[in-house]
Amino acid sequence: MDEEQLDREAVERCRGGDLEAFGGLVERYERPVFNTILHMVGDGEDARELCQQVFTKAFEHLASYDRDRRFFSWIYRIAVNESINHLHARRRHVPLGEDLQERLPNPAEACEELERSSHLHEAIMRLDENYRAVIILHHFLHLSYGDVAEVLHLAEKTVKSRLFSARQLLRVAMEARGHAHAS
Amino acid sequence: MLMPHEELMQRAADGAITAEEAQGLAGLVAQSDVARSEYESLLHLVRELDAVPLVAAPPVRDAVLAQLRSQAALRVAPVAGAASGWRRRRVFALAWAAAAVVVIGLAIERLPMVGPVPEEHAAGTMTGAGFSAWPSVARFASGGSTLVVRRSGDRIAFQPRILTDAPIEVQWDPSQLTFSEAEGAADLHDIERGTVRFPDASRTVVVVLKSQKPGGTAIVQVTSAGREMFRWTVASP
Repeated sequence: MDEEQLDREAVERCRGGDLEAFGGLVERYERPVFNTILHMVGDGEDARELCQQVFTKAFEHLASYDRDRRFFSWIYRIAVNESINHLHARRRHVPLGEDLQERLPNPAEACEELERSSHLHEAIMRLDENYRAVIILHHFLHLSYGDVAEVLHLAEKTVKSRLFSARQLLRVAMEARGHAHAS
Repeated sequence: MLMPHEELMQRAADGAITAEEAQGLAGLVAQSDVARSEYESLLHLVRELDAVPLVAAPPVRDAVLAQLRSQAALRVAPVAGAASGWRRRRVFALAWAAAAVVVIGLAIERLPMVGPVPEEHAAGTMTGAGFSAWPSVARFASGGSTLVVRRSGDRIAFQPRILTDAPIEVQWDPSQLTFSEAEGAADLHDIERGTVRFPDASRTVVVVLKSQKPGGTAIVQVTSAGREMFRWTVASP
């Protein structure tokens, strides 16, 4: 049985009141959902809270979940939206350059083996959130253009356009930090 | 707006071009040092992005299920169908309040215990990392301020983030709860009376309280400038 089928069955059991079935879905998706949020908001503690919030919200809105869509695209969309809402709320209350800079991120700690990773993650965090979302979904979660489009409710050509622009911006940012590619 | 050759390079880096397009790209990079350098730079970036590993997620399953169980129980609070508008609201509010006290107690009781209290907590020196590993019992948000409540065994941690320049206070009933630990430049002069003050609300602050009497309930309040920001009813297991 493939994962989509497993998801569908779990969702049906959840709708019948089986909370343990939802626990299975949480276990299956907590890692990609947490990573999506972590890279979106750049703060481990906030990501942990939001991750919990995303799953709680998903359960509460299971009745509105369209069974014709794939579960992963639905849960990832909630994760991206909650992250963006969180970022907007934080932006209203925290002046950039003060507390935010202190709390900012350290997702790079998890990939110390990558040279340049710290600068790369800083550059990703400086991207507009719409660009950041496509980078995370396509490169970190390895979703295809079509899957990213499904998650974000965008046309595939819009996904490509955002992805390409985001990568151009990252290249420029990395070159500005002295990481020009040696050919 | 990307030029056609740039768009082609981008798709090639994602492995999303036809054999014919690949031939065209190969010809392009063979003829132009600039194009070759640009393409290699892009490939390098794409490989780097693709190689970023997913970090292990903190286990949220138990906390999510505990929260859903407590919310599900709260939803059964009955509303009298024949009551008038204000009365219905009042009945609901009373039912909610009563149910909250009972259900919070039940929810806490049913929360998965995380095992014996770790030594670093028992020793009274709390670290942010240790605290953040405790399952959260509740999270409230109001006007940009939040309160996160976590629990480990008989200890309950309160982490308010209040958007204010004024000091904040965490107050509790000292006959039911005892002070255990605090994080974040706390004024502890009144802990015997059930109050901890934090002069600087902009810093991360945490107060850990310990249940005193099994089966008891106690209210914990977070206030700032004399105004109640959050209130949480603790039910001891």
